Amino acid sequence: MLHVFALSEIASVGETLQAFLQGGSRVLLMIAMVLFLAYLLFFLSTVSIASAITTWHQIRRRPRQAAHPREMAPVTAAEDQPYQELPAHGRHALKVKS
Amino acid sequence: MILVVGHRIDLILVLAVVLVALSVLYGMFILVLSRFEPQRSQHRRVKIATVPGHRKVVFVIPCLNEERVLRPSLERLVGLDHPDVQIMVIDDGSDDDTAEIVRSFPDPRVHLFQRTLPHAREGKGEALNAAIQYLRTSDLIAGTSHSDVVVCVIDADGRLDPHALDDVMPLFKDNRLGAVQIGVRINNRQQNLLARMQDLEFVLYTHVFQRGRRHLGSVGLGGNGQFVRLSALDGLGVYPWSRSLTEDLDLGVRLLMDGWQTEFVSTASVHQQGLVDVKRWVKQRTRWFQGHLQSWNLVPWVLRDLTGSRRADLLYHLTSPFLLLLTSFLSLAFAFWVLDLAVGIVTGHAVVSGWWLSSYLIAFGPALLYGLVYWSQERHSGLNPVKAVGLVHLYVLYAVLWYVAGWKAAWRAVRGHNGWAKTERVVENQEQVDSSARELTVEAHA
Repeated sequence: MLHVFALSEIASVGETLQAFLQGGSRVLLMIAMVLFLAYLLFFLSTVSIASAITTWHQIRRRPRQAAHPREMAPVTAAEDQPYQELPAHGRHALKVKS
Repeated sequence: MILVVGHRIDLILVLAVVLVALSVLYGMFILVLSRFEPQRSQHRRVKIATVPGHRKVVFVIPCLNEERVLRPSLERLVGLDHPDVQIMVIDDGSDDDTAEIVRSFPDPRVHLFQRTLPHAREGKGEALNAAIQYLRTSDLIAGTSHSDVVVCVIDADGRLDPHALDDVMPLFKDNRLGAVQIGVRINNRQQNLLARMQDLEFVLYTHVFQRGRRHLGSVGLGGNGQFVRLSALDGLGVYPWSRSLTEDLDLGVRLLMDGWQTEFVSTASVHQQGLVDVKRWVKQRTRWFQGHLQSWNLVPWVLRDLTGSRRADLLYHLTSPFLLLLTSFLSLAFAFWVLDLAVGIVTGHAVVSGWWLSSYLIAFGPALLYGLVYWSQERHSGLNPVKAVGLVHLYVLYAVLWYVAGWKAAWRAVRGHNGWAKTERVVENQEQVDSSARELTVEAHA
């Protein structure tokens, strides 16, 4: 009798535990997927918008270049410039607090 | 649940499958790419074969209390076979004998660049910036064009393969190449499982992801074994390195945005000390993760200045910490599911399902293929394929440790704690280090 009682107790605890694990798993999955959906939308939209802007700039630049061809800058061999002037701020130079 | 053509579809489950499928597909795509040499690199090899001349190499070693590891590193560097090598050690305000070791070093090519408090200890990036500012006007490179000077940043515990310069320096004959990153190995990987996992991690990152990214033109730079052309650094302004906790990541991305090419050389490696206890590992990775979070400010520039696959890959790479954090929820949900299954087996309610195998394959399948990559790099050390496969199973569990570091870093970032905490080194077993480096040299030339 005691043995049967212990088994049913284990089964009951097991069911409670399983219900908790299944519920918890579902909630965690939902959080992960909401974040994933947000990331996917961010990624696709930023890449699409950036690509569209790049394409637009390229289309605009081509006719202008054809109409006003630039002269090439004189080319100096690297060996002829032993000391190069440093740009204070390159295109991707960091902003430095004075 | 939503209704699609009369069928009930679990949207959450569908999204989970999409996420897993995308990550597996990306991993497989990069793995396949990594097995081939890009056309651009093939053309470069042909082109530089006929170009004469050599470039000057300046090794820059940032040091903060590195007396335990510095001397053997210097001995190895001065032993490298290259006609024009200079070594600049930055002592960033050390309390120990770091400066004394450099001063007493007999080779005249070894120079000390000392920073003292309160101007020292402002981070690795600031130390490197100060050293480069000094280098630009110093006699070390007098009379040499900046495009012919290559700066190699190497950690104080870094041991370069003896053939590293032979593999790397000819590539700089291509004037479009701004930087080269070499592989990274853990020299004490035999010491314990954590060190072994770090070695596995570096091998996979370099031999799968960096090699794959060569095709996308988005090779990244690391903090150790990083070769950069001085004129490329000049283009980034007076202070090329950022104050970010991962200034190496920032530098690589900014060089790409400036129009330079970056390359990865898999035949040469720098061997560094791995961490052997979990607490220090978490501290170091928290710093890396937080640095990666700080690099998000580069995203607008990446979107503006880069195009095509390079733009998409770098956007993914810069924002990947967010994916790691969200994957932690997914992994926890998976752990709950496994526990649920275990309870079901104990209580006798579990029903054998095809999901068991598919779940196993999702969790460990790609890692099995990565195991073969690791085996190919380690078979000369006696690693057999079965053990390699066993190790990658453990590696999947090791990756869970990243969640701890990731959330800790996110919490620190939210609270505005951006401090720089250096991870201390331990005294090395020299025999182990050298035998490890010898093995890898033989392997690289095999």
